[in-house]
Amino acid sequence: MFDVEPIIADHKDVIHDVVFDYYGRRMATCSSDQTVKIWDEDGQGKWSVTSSWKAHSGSIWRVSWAHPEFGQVVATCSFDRTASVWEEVIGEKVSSTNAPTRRWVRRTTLVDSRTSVTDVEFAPKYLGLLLATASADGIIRIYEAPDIMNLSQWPVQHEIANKLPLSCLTWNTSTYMVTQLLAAGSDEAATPTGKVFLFAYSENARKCVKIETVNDITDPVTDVAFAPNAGRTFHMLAVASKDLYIVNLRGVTDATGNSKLDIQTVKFSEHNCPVWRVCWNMLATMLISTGDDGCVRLWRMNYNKQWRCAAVLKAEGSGPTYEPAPPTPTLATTASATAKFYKKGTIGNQVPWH
Amino acid sequence: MSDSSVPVFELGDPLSTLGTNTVTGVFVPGNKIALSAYRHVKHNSRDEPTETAGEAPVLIYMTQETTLFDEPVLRSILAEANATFVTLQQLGLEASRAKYVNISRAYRSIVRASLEKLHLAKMSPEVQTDEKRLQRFTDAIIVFYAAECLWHLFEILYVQNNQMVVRQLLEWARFHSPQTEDRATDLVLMEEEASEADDYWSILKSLILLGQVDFVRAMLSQNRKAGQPAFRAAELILKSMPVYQEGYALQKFNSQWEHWHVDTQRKITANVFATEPELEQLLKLVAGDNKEWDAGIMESQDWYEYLPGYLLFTKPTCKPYELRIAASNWLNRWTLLRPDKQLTNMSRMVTQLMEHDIKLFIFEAQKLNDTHWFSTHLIDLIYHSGQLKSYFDQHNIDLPALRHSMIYEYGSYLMGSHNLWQLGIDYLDCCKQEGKATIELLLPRIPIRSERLATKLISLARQRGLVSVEEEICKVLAKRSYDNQRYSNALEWAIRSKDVRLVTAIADHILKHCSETGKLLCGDTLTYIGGRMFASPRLVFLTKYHEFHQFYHNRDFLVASELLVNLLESKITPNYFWPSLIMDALPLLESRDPKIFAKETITILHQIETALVPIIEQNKEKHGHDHTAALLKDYRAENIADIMNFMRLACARNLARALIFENTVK
Repeated sequence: MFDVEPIIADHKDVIHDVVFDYYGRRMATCSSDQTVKIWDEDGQGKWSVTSSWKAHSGSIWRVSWAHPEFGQVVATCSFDRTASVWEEVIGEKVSSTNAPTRRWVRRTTLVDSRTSVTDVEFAPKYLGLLLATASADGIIRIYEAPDIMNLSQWPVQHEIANKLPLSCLTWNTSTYMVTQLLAAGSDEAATPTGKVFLFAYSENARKCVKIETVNDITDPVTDVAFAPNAGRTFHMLAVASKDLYIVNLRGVTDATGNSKLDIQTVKFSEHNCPVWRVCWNMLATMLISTGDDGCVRLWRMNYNKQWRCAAVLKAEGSGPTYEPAPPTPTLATTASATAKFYKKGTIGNQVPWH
Repeated sequence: MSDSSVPVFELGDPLSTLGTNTVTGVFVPGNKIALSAYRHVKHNSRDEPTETAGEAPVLIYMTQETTLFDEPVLRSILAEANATFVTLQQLGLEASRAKYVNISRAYRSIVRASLEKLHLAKMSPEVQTDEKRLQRFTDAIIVFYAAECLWHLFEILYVQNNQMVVRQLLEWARFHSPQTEDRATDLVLMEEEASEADDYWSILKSLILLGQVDFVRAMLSQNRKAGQPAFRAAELILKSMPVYQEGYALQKFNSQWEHWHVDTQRKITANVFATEPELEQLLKLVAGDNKEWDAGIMESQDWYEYLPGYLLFTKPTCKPYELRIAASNWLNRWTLLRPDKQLTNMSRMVTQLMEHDIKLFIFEAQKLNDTHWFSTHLIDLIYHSGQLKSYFDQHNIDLPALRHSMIYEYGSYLMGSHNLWQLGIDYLDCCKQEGKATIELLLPRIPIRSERLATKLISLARQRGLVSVEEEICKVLAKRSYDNQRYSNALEWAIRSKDVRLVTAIADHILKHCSETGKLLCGDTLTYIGGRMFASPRLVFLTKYHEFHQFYHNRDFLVASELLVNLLESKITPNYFWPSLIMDALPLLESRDPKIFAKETITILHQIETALVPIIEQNKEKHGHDHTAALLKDYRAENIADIMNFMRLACARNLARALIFENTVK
């Protein structure tokens, strides 16, 4: 059983990305309606919009939160060929009784790309305040803010060109074995070659270079996500493609003493349709995959370290009329049962488009 | 696992089913999932409004697995069990059996106390009027009642290590069918009047079925007809019933009991009780008459309810391994007589315990809707007491691994929840490296609502040697204070974070603010900074400069001058601060009675030419002449060229004065 709390998003078109801050108390959403909204959760668990602004002149694909040690900072990327960095600033106190006003200020617009910027993600904090973007012309750019107190300067640190257009990227947060490990995927459909690429910092070349291609995945890739690491001795990468994949990366040393990555790919075909998005939980004990079939699948790792689908969340069009399901005090999360969502609250009026 | 066994949950969202839309979900820190309608768009498709835009509202659904522990009353179960869990860990694997029994009782008493609180809370008006909470309380009572009942039975059979179990089973059954006993107490209090009560005999019968012989005797002795021969004979039978006591010779007891049993049957066949049919029924039960017990079964709530009573009158020396057979026989008998009745989960679990099917029992226990509270703590107790070790070995179950994974899962669930995290950390502490790594990931993600909480988080991190967590929390607070313009606080937290870059950035801000306004922030912090100033060279400079300010303001010009010359010489002056430092030197150089000696004056001139001039030159090259003023400036003078002129002149004049002063014989 699940408790569900609907929130009226007030976006005028579908949301492309819902991202939570480090603590799960703030939420950023972006949409085809070209706006970004920032939400805050109050003490009673109610979410409300605290900022909303038109951030780009095209659909906004993705949004990413920086680690809170860099302040309240988000980055967005858009169809309009740019990525932007936004920071929340505290205004002057109007009076002594009111809390000071807060607003989001554009710190920079990154205009290096000549095509749509398809993904943006802040690097793990141990690398400093770094930002990676992927674009449809196949270029990954890594920007760095040298002065964390002044976010207006974002020089490009690395620029890696790829032959295929890129649709997504992800940073590895773990420093085990490889530093600055980054993966990107391509949704190009014409060539039967590997569609997931791995990049890392090379000491010899003194720059970020492509180190591997995952050749097992040749179908278009729409999302990649590295799993957080709680003491694992290998890396896990979830890939959304024609099917769901989990790629395990292990460090091995070959005969010549060079260390390289051993790539093992596991395929999950339960969706039986293209998978669009993937998301890990905080400890990488669960995974969510979004299918084209109107279903979200929840995957759980069992005690044998095997991934199994634990639940399916299915969208139903009939609207918010469900009655609470009968009480099932002995229902476990993995028990076999079909239950309906229990709805709280009501849904507001329709919002006119643009 | 085949697809059909995966549970499907439905979300009613119109937008997700329109056109080619689907639904997507992301995990939210704090054990939640956010769901929303999704439409995949490729980079090369046209950027235009989706065809479904505006046809249905856009919603985000915050989804959480239903948990009972949103209620504060229930949270106390978690908190108290946590304390008992910690005690058990300290006890280790080698303690005496009695100690483990105490732990088991402690867990059960926590549940019993909470059940009482739950019943009370459920009756309160605010719960009665809130349908959802009422349901939650009802569910919780069902779940925890089952947990206590099963735990109690488990304790009797697998923790206490009893030679014989009937006496303990009677107590177990008695506790879990309190209604009969409550009513019996009322009847006893009514004394003689009770004989006329409608349910007098049915209660007596239930008491016999439950094996409550003492109660039966008390009620019978109050009967109006107690003096009659039938009643006196009954009293004699019940009074003389042999009761096995610890230490009895089994053989001797058995022959005694057999004698008593035969005697009872003989009296019944001799029609001693024929005048009192109801009394005769009772005694037939006592004699183990199958027909009467079958009638009893027809009235029982659950299959196991009258099993202990039956054993008392038919097999009083039942040993744990004999219970298996007795239980399965009794269950068969019950199912034959009551084919209409379905076994509930709980009665199935009772069967599994009695039939020694621990593996299945644990599997079922994990399905209780208690976020694994029961199964986790029970497994941990099984592991520590070592009682079932051979069972798990036989069944090829790696008990330590099972315990580890269950504790890990339970601990990480608690620690991932925003209001339960403090309880989770003790469980993760038992999970070796994996637990430590998990704490390291989750601890810094606890929302830092106050500095008090931050201090607590830091001390938890320190106890576990998680330096990076401590530093991270300090950095977050430093940045937060900085953004809120609480610079002293920011500086303190930054120093604690040991992040040189952050300390430098904040010191820079304070220095720049000073050269723009002449006001030095964070005076108090800098006064008492002591050895902590070595967190960053910039902070050392700032602290020394602050000291100079203090001396200057106290008109202690000689010491101030000495310090200033040291600073000019030190090579740690940030480029942007040179103009301010020089502007500070000017009044001291222009003083009528020299504050700076000739030698020092020459040093200053030397520093200006070797350190500052190159900076100005660099600046000119980089930014051209116009920008120089903007980058190197002070609130007292905008133009660096002016500053240089003033300075050279002042140095020359002071040098002249100082030379005369120093070479004049007083």
